[in-house]
Amino acid sequence: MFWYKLAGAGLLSLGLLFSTGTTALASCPAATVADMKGVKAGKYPQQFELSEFERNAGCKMTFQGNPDIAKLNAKIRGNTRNLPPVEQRLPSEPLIYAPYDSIGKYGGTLDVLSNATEAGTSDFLSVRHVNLVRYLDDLTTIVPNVAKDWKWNSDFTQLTFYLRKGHKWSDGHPFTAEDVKFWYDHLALDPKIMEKPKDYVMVGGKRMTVEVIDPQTVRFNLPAPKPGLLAHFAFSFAQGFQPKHFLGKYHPDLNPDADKLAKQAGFENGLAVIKAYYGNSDWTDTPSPLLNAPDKVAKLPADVIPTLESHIYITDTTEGRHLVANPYFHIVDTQGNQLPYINEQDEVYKNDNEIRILTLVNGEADYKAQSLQLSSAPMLLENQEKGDYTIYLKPEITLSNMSFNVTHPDTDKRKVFADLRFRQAMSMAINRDEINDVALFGQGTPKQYTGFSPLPDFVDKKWESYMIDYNPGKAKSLLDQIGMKDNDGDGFRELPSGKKLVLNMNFSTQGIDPQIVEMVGQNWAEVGIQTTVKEVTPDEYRSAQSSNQLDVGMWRSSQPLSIVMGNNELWVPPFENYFGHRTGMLWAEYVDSNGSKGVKPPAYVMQLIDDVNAFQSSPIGSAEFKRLGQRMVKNMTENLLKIGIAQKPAPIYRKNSLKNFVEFKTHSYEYYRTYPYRATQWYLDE
Amino acid sequence: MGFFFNKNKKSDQQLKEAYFTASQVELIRSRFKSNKTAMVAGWILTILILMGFFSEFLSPYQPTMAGRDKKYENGPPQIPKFWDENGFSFRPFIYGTKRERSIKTNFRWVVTVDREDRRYLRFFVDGWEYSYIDLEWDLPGEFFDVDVQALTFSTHLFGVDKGGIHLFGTDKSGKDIYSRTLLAIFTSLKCGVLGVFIAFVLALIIGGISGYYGGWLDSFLQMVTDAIRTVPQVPLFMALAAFLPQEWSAEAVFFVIATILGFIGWPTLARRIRTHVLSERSQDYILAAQLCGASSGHIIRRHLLPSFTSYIIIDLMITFPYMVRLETALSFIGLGLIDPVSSLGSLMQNVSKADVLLNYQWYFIPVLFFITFILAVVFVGDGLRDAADPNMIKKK
Amino acid sequence: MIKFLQFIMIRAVMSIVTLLIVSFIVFSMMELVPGNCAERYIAFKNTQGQNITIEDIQAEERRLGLDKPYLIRAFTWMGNVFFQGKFGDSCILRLNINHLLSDKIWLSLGMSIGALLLSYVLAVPIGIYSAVSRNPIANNTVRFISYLGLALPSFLFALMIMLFTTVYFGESMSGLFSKEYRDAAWSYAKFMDFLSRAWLPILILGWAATAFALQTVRALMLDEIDKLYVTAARARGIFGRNLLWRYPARHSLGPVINSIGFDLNRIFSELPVVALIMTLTEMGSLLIDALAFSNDQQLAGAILVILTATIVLINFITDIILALMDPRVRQGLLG
Repeated sequence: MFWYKLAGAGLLSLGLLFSTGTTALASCPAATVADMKGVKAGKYPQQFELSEFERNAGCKMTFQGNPDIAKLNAKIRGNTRNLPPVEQRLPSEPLIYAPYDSIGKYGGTLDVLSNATEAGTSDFLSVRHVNLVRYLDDLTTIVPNVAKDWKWNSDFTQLTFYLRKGHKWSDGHPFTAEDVKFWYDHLALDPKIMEKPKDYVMVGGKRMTVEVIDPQTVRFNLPAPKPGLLAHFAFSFAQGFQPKHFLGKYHPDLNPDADKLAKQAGFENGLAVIKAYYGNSDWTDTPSPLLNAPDKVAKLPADVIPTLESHIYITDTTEGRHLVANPYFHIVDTQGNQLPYINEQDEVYKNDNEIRILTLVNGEADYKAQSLQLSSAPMLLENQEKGDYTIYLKPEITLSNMSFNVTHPDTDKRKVFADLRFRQAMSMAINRDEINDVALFGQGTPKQYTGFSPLPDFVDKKWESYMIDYNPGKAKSLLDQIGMKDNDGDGFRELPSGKKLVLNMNFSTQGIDPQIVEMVGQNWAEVGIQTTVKEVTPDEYRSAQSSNQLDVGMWRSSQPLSIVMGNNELWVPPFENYFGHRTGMLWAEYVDSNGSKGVKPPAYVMQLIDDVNAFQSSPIGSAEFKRLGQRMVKNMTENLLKIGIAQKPAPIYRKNSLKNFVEFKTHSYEYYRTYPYRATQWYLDE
Repeated sequence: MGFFFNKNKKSDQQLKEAYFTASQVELIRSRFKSNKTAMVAGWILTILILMGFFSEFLSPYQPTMAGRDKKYENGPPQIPKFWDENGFSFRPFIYGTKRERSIKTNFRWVVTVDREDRRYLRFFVDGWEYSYIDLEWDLPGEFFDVDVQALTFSTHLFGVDKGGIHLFGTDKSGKDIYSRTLLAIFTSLKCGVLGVFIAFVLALIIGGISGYYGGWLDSFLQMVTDAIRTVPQVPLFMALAAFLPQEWSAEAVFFVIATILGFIGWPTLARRIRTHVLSERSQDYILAAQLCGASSGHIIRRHLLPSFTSYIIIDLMITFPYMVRLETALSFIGLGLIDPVSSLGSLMQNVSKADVLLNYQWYFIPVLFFITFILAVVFVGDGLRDAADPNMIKKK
Repeated sequence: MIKFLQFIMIRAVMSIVTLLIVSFIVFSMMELVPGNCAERYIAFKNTQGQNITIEDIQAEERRLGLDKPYLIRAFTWMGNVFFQGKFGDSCILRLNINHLLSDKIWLSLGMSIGALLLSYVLAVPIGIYSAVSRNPIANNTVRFISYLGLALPSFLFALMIMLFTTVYFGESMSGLFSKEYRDAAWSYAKFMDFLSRAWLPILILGWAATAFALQTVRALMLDEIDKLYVTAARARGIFGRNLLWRYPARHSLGPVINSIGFDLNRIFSELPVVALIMTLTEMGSLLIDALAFSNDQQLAGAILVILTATIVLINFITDIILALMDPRVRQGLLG
């Protein structure tokens, strides 16, 4: 009799065990973007805060972690072996993602390719990247990530971020507002670490101040309005926080024993340790102590700096890197599973493009977009079935363009190049449709350079097609008007002064497609302008550009609105940064030296400078904002400072076993690659 | 009958006389002729050189961007036929082609051959202009500029009435591979010969002096020679090539490359020359000349040099393939000759793409020419060496 | 004995002087290329959306010590290399070059010497055979095959093999190690893994080197074989392989040994491109990377000096071996 009761009790308790686990309060539905299962959207699309979700779904969330997490954690040197349970590892206010297609499965290793330790890596870096906020996949809306929410004051001089309670670094220590202030005051602005502060931490050349209101609230006080500051934290690679508890103890300003601590590990001083970990750069691909100090790393408390990202380095060599999931990552899915799903990531370096293509064709990588060019598309497309992957062709943001050296040292050439009719003629002489057909497989879009890409909707669309029609007859008549005639009968025109004109088109393949250059050269020869085309190294190109030696500048340019709001380089001479497409070098000299050197730019250039500065301070979407934007585009495009050719697409590669992958809108770096598309919720399904 | 015998006897006697009074060159030539392998190689080499020399006549299209066929990029080879299902024709013909490309074809041009559209070959057609003497030197001061064009023709061996004929297919921009191959052979040849010549001159001077005077001068020059031989060539060449100013024309680059080849190659030659000179210097006939009161210059010119001329020629022939190979390797990396002075190396540069091997195999045809060319030179060199070696008489 | 030491000393001094001159040339050539380390490093990071000015680059230059005059930098660098064996930091990779190259040197050296040995193993018997053979078909065939190694550039051959295996076997035979051993520490298993993948580059490089060695051996044998001492030995009744090996072959070896250093030099020249194509992660491909892609002066200069030093060292050793082998010299030196 007795054992019947025992069995019964056992069965009953088992039953209770099951029921409480599954019913009690309804467990949360597996809401995904594909099927929200009736859950109402929260304040921001595709994601929720915990209380918001529980309210909208009418459930109580329970958390689950990766069953292998203890094993993965054991590989991170510097983490305690005793891993707390998942509820204690997550913040008490985690971020909840609704995955794109389905709740994921834990496991697998993401295989990726980069060129070298610090080259061609931004693609892969963006896969695990986090920052205070993020752009949504529509590339226009900004949503929270590390920060829970934010608030601007009325005139855009104060930006407050609200962080998450209980958020921890990858080593288990708490993440608070102090970490943001530490990053700003003691790293970004400390001349011992960054000799000159980057312009993205300044406003109009002046520094901001960062206030810690409470451990979860941090406030940026700006010396002047800069609405673009929020967008910066959405698209930039620079994370607005660093671990104060870890790096702070090596910083001489914060710890009097910093140098002593450093010497114990074999380093010269505290700053050297900071350099070994942080690389004195906000880039997260700088060599870690595993690579830059392999003989000393064993004496340091951890192999790599703690992070908030979804994965953390465990090996770092010149052949590649290996990462494991961060046990303290702050995002969960709608059923409470802690992200990331993918256990490990393996990055291999292959510096030759052909080898990379071969690797991809063989299906040996899971995702790649950076450095894939349209010219490789046929090969990639053909082997999709064999390699079990999919290729997406998406437009790039930058546009191939050419410029004429309007401040050329040779005064005869300068006179012609500076003549607007010449630039108009050359723009009309280019057969963009033919170039599109031949060089871009007909997949490109002929476009004029307007400075913005994509063109904001408050700017008239007509500017994108300004003077892009192929009209050699008109071009020739314009050239005749300027006075460029063919006097010696060799088929090519001379300068108005009578001197022979040969346009040297020296280009670098890093900036522009060789076929495009050759064809444009032919087009111009057909209207009577003699050209010679030569390929040079990027160094040589930049060098010639710097010393004002180029006849024709050729590269890719354009930026989206969000970047222009924080960066005026496309609108101020020399019209891009050192590594881009610069023109009007002597105008830049004039502006930088306040008029003592160089050549005075024409009035429209001065207006561009004034306009862009006013643009950056005006509230987004206001009438003033739109008016300024319109005028900027008109000035830039009408004057054909940079003549656009075409915008082309580029391939994005994805192995079919990679799930929760949504098609990107563009193939570009400008929104930090995969970051808007939530790579942290990808999973592998072999 | 008698007439026949008489002739034989006379030839026999003549042969013997010829043999004993023959000059060195004739002896070498006759021994060379009896070496079948070398003869075959020699003929192949001669044909290739002639093809290269007359490349413009033999090419229906210009090998540069200007001669590209816009409607036939990455096109497969078109071999002329005499006969197909529509009948036999004395005149060879090829087919017309149409092509299309879209996302459905993965952006590859899909070429459809129209077997009804016969395009007959024509011979000795009129085409693009070329000159055998074409000098255009841009010297300082306009007065000294040289711009001479002579022996200009525009006839080509063959062509088609409509469309294009591409025996070896075309490359990515539509340039005719057949024309480029012919030009490239000649360019590689010129570059190699020039390089060998420069190396020879340097080697002769340094090796000759070193071997003739001996002593500390010899040791010093040997050390210098060894030092230069020690330096890893390719990387230094790359660094040098990266330094070439961009304004230089293709021809100027050509000369610089050839010069650099010469500078890399002379130490090996110099060592050989020195060895020759050293071993000959102690011979009796030199001593005799010295006793007669001959000056050093006279001795070197009239006695020493002729004694090992044959060896030198052979050494030069042996060095030649290495020069061409080196130039090819560097053009392949992209640091050598550039369009339009392209060589076999730059042709092969396009081959290093996975896409090409899988889909456009005809890009490899120049490789076959290159290999044949080098092998021919090497076998001829070996044959010459065998022919010039007096000890070889005993073998045959 | 004294004379022998003197001989060694003179040779040593000559080697060191050679090395110094070469390093100076190497450093100068690196300087001639436009652009400098600071600019390249910043370009390498490809920071967009960030305003980089000339001042940023100049600040970086100061940090790297690139603003000091040319001669001071040259001598500082050479001093560091020769007195401390320190090559400094790689310009682009920002890593200590000594760490970077430490095990790669052995990989490159191993493969090059492997190729060299292979070429001699092939060339010496074939050269001897070719010199004495009466069978023209066999003679020609053998020569044809080895000269093919000369005519077909090694990089092209490597490329064709790579692509062939990719297409037909679906796996690219690239890399020196398989995934498991990539980051692991050295062990017997790792060594075997290395060998299983290194045989291909060794074969490719060795084939090309065979041709040259073959021609040399053949020519030398032809020269020696008709000399009187060989006829004398034949008259005494020695024949066949015995004859070949004991008499003419031994004397032919002298010049072959002499050229070991230069043959290695030639292999070093070919190795980088082959290594690049097959993504062998060793010194040669790093060199091409540094020279052609990233223009990393420090790294390229360091590798060139190491290569040159290796060759100088080998020449030094072969000089001494030759001196000991040649009885005339041996008598003179050792008394």
